[in-house]
Amino acid sequence: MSHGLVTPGTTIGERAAAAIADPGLQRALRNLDTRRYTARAVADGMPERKDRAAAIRRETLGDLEGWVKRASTALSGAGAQVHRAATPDDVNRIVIGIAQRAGATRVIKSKSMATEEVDLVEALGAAGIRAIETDLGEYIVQVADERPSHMITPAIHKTVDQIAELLSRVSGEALPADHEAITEWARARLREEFLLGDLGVTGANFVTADTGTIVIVTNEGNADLCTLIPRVHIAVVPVEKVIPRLSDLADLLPVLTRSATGQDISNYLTMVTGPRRAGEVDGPEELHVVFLDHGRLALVGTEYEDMLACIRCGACLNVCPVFRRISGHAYDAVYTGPMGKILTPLLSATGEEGRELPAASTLCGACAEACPVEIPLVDLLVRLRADLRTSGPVGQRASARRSTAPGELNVTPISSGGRRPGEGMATAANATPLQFGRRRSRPWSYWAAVWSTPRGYRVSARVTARAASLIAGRRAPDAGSGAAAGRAAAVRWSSRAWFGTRGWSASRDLPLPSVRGFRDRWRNRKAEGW
Amino acid sequence: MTHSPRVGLFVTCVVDQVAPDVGIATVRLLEAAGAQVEFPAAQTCCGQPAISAGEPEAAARLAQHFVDVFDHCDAIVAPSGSCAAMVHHWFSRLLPHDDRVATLSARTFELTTYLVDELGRNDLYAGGLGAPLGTTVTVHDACHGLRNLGIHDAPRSLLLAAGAVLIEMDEADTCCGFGGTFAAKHGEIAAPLADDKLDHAAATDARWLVSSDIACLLHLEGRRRRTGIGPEPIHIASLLASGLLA
Amino acid sequence: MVTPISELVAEFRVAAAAHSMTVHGPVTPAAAPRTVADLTRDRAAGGTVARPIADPVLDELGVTAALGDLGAFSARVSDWFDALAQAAVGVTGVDLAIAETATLIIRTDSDRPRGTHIVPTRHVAVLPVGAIVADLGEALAAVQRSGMPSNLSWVSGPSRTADLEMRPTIGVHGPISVDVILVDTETRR
Repeated sequence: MSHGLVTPGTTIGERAAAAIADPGLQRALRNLDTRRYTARAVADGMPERKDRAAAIRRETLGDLEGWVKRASTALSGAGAQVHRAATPDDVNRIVIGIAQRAGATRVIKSKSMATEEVDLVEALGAAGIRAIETDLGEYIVQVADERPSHMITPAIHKTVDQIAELLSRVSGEALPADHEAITEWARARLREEFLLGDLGVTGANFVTADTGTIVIVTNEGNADLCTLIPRVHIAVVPVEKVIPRLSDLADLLPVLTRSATGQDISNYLTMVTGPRRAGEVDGPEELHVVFLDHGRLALVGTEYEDMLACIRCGACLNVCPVFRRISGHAYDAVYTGPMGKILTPLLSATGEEGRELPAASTLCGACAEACPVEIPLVDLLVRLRADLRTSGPVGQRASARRSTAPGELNVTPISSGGRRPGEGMATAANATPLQFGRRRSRPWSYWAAVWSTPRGYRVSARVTARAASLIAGRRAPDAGSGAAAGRAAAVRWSSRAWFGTRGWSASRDLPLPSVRGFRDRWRNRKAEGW
Repeated sequence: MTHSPRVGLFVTCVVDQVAPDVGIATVRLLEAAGAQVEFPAAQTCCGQPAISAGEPEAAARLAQHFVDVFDHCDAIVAPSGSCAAMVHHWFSRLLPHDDRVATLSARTFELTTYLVDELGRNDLYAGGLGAPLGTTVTVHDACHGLRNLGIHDAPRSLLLAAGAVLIEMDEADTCCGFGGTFAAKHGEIAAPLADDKLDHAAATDARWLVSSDIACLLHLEGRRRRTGIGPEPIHIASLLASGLLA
Repeated sequence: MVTPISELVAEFRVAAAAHSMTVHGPVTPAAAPRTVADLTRDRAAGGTVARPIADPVLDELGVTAALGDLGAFSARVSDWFDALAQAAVGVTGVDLAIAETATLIIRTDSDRPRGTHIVPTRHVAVLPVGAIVADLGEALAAVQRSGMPSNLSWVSGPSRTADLEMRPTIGVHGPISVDVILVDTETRR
């Protein structure tokens, strides 16, 4: 599996540093700024709709297996063939099997993160079946042999100059770095592929359990083309895409499109219910739906269940201060941004993927604030940090039952509206007590033992301050009131001297701890006259 | 609300050890607002560093000590949104069986919201207690205070009433990059985020970069000392206390 | 409380403009065939025109016949799909639309292929004003009541992408323009 921009063996820190040092990438990332506030429009403009959307997403999580069965019944009733895939390999095996039985050799695809997750295009290629991405952003990263960096705008990391240069290799002639010209070229190029496609592969934004309808959201209209031209259509659908009713779309769609791009609706919605019917002149003769599990069902009933409510809008990426600087490839994962930091380790069957991701967050909460279905992303990151102390697959180990009465614990969720503390849903993630593990860090245990007693704290503070001033060769004068934080005492540290500050002092000064801390000053306040 | 409310000061471990002047300023502001301040000397730390590091057991130990120390106080005030948010957001999940936690969380406040929303006092200099600041400021909205506790208007209200000229920076509510253990573990990202914040602050030409969280300020000041860019970071308590005449 | 049609039409116009769709009319039913034919000829600019085999809206208004005079073809021709791929304009009737988002709901059946609105270079849609409902919720209820067809395409603008530096461009795969001709009918479906 080669993915252009990720050097094997690097850490997220190294990739992040490289990304930040890349001027072309940093320029390209500024284009994402226009989407920073789109999620706020949902929270401010349609709070009740947002609450309903969040509730709809929780409805299926109570019994996800049951809902998948209901959806399967409805899909079969409409004439689709339904398959269940436990693992990525299962998906690829099923899809290749269908393709081979149908004699298909040219797949046209619309954008699907699930197919990225299972590496379908690569698997098809190994089976001698050519697959072309038709979503323009996906096509660009396919040509570049990269993963999508952003789930909504896969090529956001590229400037138009870079795109023109890249596509010129396909076109054989120099394409101008002009948006309209590239669009026109892409239209013609991809039309050739569309017209020859004999198998259409799509994802699904939602699948309705009552009508058995596959709902695909695009602006390009490429899902319409992928589902009308080929003789066979396969939809690869992660199990959490099931929604109870067609009517639920009245809340889910506006929330999705506004959170994703700020649009009130996307330019195209493709709603497929079964294959071609008798007498119809286009559309697939065979419709297959492959439900993908890949560790999701194991999360139901656990404190991580909320992550399955995700509707893949990308809002959390757009607001994340880290993502906006390092871009998706630094994550070296299929799913990037805050939701990717959580989903990647949770779904990892070996427990190897994404272990370093949850720590690469400032926990600022902008993601949780932006999430239109109120996933408490910060809570999930914190829980993962604790659970990842133990090796092995986290998702399969997650066993905490959610609090049966979510309101029981007096929880202030990360406010969903951003400015409304105390409101927002009490969900599995934020209402369940934190689970204490057996594998604790010794340094932190010692720290807690010392710092949970007043004497231990005072002694360690004094020792630290004395050691620091010895090493620095200076004593922090007592700062009078009105001084800037640390101004009177800031000094350049010797980074070897202080555990944990190597990462700090490489780029920032660190103030000296005061030998006389606040409590000493308090005891002396009369004498000091304050 | 009593006329002279009694407040237990939670000074926070960082202020205690690295920026005691912020603690002193906090006391002076609370007293100027008419509160009676007690300092429970047995206090240590709210446990936030441990939560950030993924060590809930360690955090719970500190949280338990906090509850034991402060439970007798009518109100608990900290010059830190993130510490107050720690109490509000995490204590109930760390100590689900301690039934004091719910009410204790409800009486734990960050300084500016306590002054403005609880005491109803945004004009601390009233009655000749202080002289107008007459300086320009820009505000950085510290994340946990903003998103967990809704701290946004209270600091601005205090600054304006104190006679400061407020110039809003772009992306005032974007994270400064501190993020707890992230600040040391991922300095390669934390420092550029500090640079972004300092750039936005510099663009306002304000004299002071004000925030209610000492950690953000240490991070920003530490970076500013290397780059020379941006207004001088200062804790809102320190700035407001500088205008008090007594 | 039922929203008056005039309000729905007004809302539709505003939304359509925001979505880069061009709205014409409302014209009277009597004027519809001529208006549609003129606009289609203009958009086709010498190219061919595709239409459904049969379409309740187009047929009832006499538009189908008028398009026949233009040489419009349907799926009855051999090599239909190749012809569709070459066509300059696809004309469809619309029997359900949403005012709030200017969405045209294009239904598939044996007389109305999936490809008519999306494969040709431009899309011309004929929409009786009585077919406009207020919002997405109403539209979903309406389609569910009448039974889900094998395909429903919900069209709210031309084919668009923002994949290039987030700058929107038109016509990346599907139609480079969508024209909607409103026809002033009284009937509410």
